[in-house]
Amino acid sequence: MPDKIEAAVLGEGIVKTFKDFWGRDKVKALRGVDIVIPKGSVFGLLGPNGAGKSTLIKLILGHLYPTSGRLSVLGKDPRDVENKFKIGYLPERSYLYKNLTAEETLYYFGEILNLSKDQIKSRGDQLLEMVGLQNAKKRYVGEFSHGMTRRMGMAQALLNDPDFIILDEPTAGLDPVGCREVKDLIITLGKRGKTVLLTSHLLADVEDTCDELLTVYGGTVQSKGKVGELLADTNRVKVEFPADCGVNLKTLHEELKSKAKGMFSISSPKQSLEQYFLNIVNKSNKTHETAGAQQGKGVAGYLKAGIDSIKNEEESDIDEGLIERVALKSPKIDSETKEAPSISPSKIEVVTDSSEKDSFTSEDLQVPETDSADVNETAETPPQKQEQKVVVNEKDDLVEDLQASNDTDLKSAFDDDIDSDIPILEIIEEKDNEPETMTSLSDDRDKKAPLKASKIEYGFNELRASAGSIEVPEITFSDDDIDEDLDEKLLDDLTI
Amino acid sequence: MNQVFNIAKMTILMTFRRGTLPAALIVIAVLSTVIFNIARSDGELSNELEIRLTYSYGMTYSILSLIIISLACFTIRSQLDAKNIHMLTSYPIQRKWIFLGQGIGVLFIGVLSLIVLVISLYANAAVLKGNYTDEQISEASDLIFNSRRKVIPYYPSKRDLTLTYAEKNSIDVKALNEIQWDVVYERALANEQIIEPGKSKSYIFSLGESPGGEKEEVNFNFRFQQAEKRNKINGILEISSDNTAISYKQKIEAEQYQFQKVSVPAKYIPADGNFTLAFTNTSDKSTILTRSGLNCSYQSGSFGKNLIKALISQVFHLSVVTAVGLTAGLGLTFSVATFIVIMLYVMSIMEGVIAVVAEELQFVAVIDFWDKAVMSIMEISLWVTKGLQPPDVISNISSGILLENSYLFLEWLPSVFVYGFIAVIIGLRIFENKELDKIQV
Repeated sequence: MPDKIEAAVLGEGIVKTFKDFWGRDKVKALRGVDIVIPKGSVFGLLGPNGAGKSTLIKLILGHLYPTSGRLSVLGKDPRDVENKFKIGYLPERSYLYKNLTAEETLYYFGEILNLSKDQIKSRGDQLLEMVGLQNAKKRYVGEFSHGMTRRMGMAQALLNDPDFIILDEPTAGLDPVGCREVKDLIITLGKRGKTVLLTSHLLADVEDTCDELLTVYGGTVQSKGKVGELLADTNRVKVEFPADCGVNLKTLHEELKSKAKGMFSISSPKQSLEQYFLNIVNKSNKTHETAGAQQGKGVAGYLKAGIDSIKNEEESDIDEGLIERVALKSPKIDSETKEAPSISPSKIEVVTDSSEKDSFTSEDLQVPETDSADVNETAETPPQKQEQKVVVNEKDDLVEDLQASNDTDLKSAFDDDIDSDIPILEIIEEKDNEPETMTSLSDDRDKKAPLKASKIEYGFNELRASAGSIEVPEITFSDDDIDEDLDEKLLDDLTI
Repeated sequence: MNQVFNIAKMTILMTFRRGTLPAALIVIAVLSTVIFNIARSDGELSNELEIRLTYSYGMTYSILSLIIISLACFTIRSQLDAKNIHMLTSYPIQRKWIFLGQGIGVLFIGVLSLIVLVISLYANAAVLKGNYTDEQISEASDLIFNSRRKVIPYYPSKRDLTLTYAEKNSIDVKALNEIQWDVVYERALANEQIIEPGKSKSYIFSLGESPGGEKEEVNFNFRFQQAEKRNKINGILEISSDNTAISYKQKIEAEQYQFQKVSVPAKYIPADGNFTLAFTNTSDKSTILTRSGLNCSYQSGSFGKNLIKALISQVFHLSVVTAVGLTAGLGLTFSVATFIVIMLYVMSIMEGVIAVVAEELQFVAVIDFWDKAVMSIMEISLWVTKGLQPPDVISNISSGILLENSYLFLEWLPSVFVYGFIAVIIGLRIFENKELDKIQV
């Protein structure tokens, strides 16, 4: 347990067991959770239903007491009353008094907070304006919609300008504008040095706002750390360069050296938080018990009556398919037009995944999903940065190529990588969008033929050792597997 | 304390907006009016007022306190179930202040209901007075507004009476069966109550104070019951004291089966109020003077003081009722809490019945282990109910009889205080130390 961190919440070995009437263990909600929420951080607490998130929050609020373990909030016991002047709490559901108006609610809690009448009025007006309830301040909270109640809850949580704000599902039930406003608010609070504890099932919100994450499952911590570190996919390497530097894949290394100059960077690509979370839950579901909700087993049989013929295929895809789709971002083909979605050529990302395919062939190069609506819109609007991603599985091909290579250092470096999951190479090329070029590329996708690309070889040991935005020390392309036609066409499209 | 009053204010406001408070006030006003107009006496205004006020005030107050105990229970329980309390405890306020604030809020509602009840009774009495002459009104007012102190003589318990009689007559009570024991008791009671011609009986009074100045009078109220004939009873009343040389004698002639007042100048009553009254039957027939057939009364206090004491004691009672309701609401589920508080309250108003049962249990010659065990349980039950018991003040108010300080402050209030204290301590302990989610299970 780090003791030098200035922590808003410091918990060690927290166990919470709910007992029945006879004192027998009923539910083990938390099983030895360690938690450190640094002051000034926006901290995300994740977990599926029943993972123990709410129990942990209740412990932090002093509503429940740990069965064992230690917990301090702002350096004091969670039940310390004076401490609560510094804490704001937005519960997951509305616990406000339904028979009070919005204005009265803030006035009531303001008086509990010993705020002066002027302060209550001033802050109340500002808060109601902030959450968009200025026009509803004379209405009873019980008459509010769910979203309005959330907004009201947010207003009361911030009435005392707390140093530590606990937001339990703050965006649940909010409209997109409200979600955006809440996220902006959280970011603003974070910038002001406030500590925010956030739980949400909307992972994009957490990803957008949080500095640190703690994921719980079955009452145990599954992962914790800074968001950037947790989401960094260290098994993959992304090479990023501008699309308008006029290179082709054959001469990528040489041309990048000369043309991309300092904009040629290599870094570990990030997976989405959703993908990260699903991976943890999927893994934990197999290895840990939970008193909460478990992963669903697919659609109930009676609801699938009549589609037995396709059932088996679909069922096999339910659990892992979702993860795979998220991970590989395979192209979505329009079922009616049989067309692949249009893509923008402004940015190309080549990702090599070395985990599954036996050989690296041109068919492995696929077009990632791009919303065709976005493309059409782009065709009529000024050029924008777009991204095209090509995913290639090349683990074994790389090994084969390396085995054929005389470069023993590189080979040994790859052997290391193979032991710890071969990394993925991602090359991103960027340039301004041009509608005409984009359309022609889109036309090429009509045949649903996957893109082909050159095989890529490079020194992984060096790349990985210097992950981040650095210059690639060595990249070598072998010409054997290059589809000349496609490469030429691709580069034609890319190069103006 | 601002936080406490804020919680109290919120409790009242929420009760009002939920409609509970207006409904409670309407129920109180309507119920008291209905009972007042249903109750009937002999048509004499003072008696009409006494009966109507006693029934209306007594029954409505019982309902009122039942409403308050339920309201206290419901208020805290509903806030726990709706998790308003969870929200509140995330704010910088100690749980004991929340408890106190809720209690003050509910108590305020109780007091408000009590005021409505008094106003309603006053209005009904005013309407009733419109049907009577000024003279009748004056007489009734004189009776009600000039409060009197009423004292009964000392009587031994049934068991002591029986044992004393058996001892005097050399009866071995251990050898008696139940029927024989009852026969002995009946003889003892007859010996106590029947005054044969030429015989006299003595009654010990202890007023505990001087009944007033020289101009004051002390009234002795007799109700004789002669079994054989309804003739008037003649006799001699004699007042004496062991500590003073004061002695007073007066011949009396009294109707039977109704109270006859015999006024004695207050100066003949010893200053310490302790004296013996002897009645000698000079009639040629024996007569009976039951335990409820003799009392002494004299003017003391005022209606205003009486009313204030009654209202204060009822506010204390409502405080305890509120504390019990809150504690039950905190510690139990809504349905169990409701059941418990209603049971407790019903037991408290049945205290008289329980007391009679307890006395009957004790009325045996030899008390064995099981009798003792059952008596202990009964005594605990009596104790449990006594603190929640409404103060016995309503009939006093209605008939203009002084509320005894000794009863209010030495007997009733301590039991209420102990009861309320225990209820508050348990409630606070539950609220302070228990986990909120455990409470709401």
